[in-house]
Amino acid sequence: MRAALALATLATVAHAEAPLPGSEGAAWLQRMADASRQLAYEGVFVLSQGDRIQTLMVANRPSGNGKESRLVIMDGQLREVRCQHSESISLVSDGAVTQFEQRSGTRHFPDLLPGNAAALAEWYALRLSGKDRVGGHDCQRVDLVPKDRYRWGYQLCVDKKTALPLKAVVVNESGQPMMQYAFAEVRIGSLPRPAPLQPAATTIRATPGDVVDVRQLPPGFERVAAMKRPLPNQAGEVEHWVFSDGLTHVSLFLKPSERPVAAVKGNSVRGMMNLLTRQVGRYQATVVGDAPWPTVERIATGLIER
Amino acid sequence: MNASNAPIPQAPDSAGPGESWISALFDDALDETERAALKGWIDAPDTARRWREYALIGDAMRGDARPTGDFMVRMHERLAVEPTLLAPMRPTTPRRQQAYWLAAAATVAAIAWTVLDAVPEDPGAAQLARAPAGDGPMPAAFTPETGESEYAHYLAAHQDFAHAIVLPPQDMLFTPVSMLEAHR
Repeated sequence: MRAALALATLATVAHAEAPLPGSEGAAWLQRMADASRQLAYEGVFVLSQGDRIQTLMVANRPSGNGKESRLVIMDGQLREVRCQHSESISLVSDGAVTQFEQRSGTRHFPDLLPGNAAALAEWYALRLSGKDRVGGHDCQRVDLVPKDRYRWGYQLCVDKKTALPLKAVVVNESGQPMMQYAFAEVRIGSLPRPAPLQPAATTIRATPGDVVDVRQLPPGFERVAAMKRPLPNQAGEVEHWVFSDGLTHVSLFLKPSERPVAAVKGNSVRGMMNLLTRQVGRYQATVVGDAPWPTVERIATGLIER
Repeated sequence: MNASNAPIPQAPDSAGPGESWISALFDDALDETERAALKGWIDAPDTARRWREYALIGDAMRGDARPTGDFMVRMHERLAVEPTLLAPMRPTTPRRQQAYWLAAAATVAAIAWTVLDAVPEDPGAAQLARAPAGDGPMPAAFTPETGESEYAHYLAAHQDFAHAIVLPPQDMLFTPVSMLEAHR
């Protein structure tokens, strides 16, 4: 009897850790993505990276086909991100002066998954890895295991009732955490209207024509944005392209360079961010992303001037 | 300060009790027995001078008086070299940013080897050469003379699309690398 019970337990565990079939994994992805945009919620979460911890407040409510959200960094310099449908701005204040800057993306924790999240099932295997409790809510652990070396893994814990991600851990190829979000408390339900967007000081324009070609992209990646934008303390505008598989993002910055520069590799101390700057014809190209080094390297080394 | 339960310590030169006892005396934290034991020392000229300095420090810190002479200069000099203790902590190493390029230069060879090692796994990707030296001048964005580095703005702009959280610049380490001839 005891042996049968042990076998049954083992079978349950094995079943829980086996990758979900593709369609089931896709359904989980889509449900989690929709919950983070279509639900109204408000809460405080903690972001930890190594020995650094940051506390943030987030509020979200559905609006038409989109969302309205507000993200406030509660430590250090006053900084806030407000998103409304496809528009987004950041506010930075030193106490006396508040600067507004237009942003291009509208996603932030817990809204980490793209609108068409089901498509990620091609690049990630999903595993249900047990139950947990986060921010006072029972949650289901869902692991996104990358199928190749071009993206990081994610370990999510999503609210059992709504599938809202309550915790997200970005892990490297060894399963070691590199960054972690977790709600300390969250209220899921109706909310007051977020503050309206303010006019942005920075303008971002679509690029008229490409000056370089990208000869090789990692599987599943495509260009999702291309714009010209001014950057602080820099004359003129830089060209900013973004490549993504929907979850991982890599930016390419291009600016004219009068004389060839040496190639420089950069990596964050904990390895989550990687960067490569190099000369491409008459341009200095900088590829940077929250992606494994092979992803950044593959994009950067495949650039050629048109 | 409450020093009444401790034995009266002697200064290394035996000139009198240690500094903590002056403070305890100033705070009126000594009992009669301790006062009696310290009587000879209290009447000494040097003790009187240190007592006046304690009184001046207290007045200056409260803003009750503005001492003259070089006292304020000396006090500020002492305060300037005192650490600001927010919580008990172990000594820490200097901040990485200050020795950034030094550290990067020291690890060039190891990182270049790592990159080269990755080449055969993905022939379509890794195209960096073994030579650690760069092909030209360092990009302006990554030279130590630029102060507020351009790469910090790249990272901030990238976060528009990623996690909306800007990594502090000192979290990045940079290494010069060389491109293979075909990619220069």
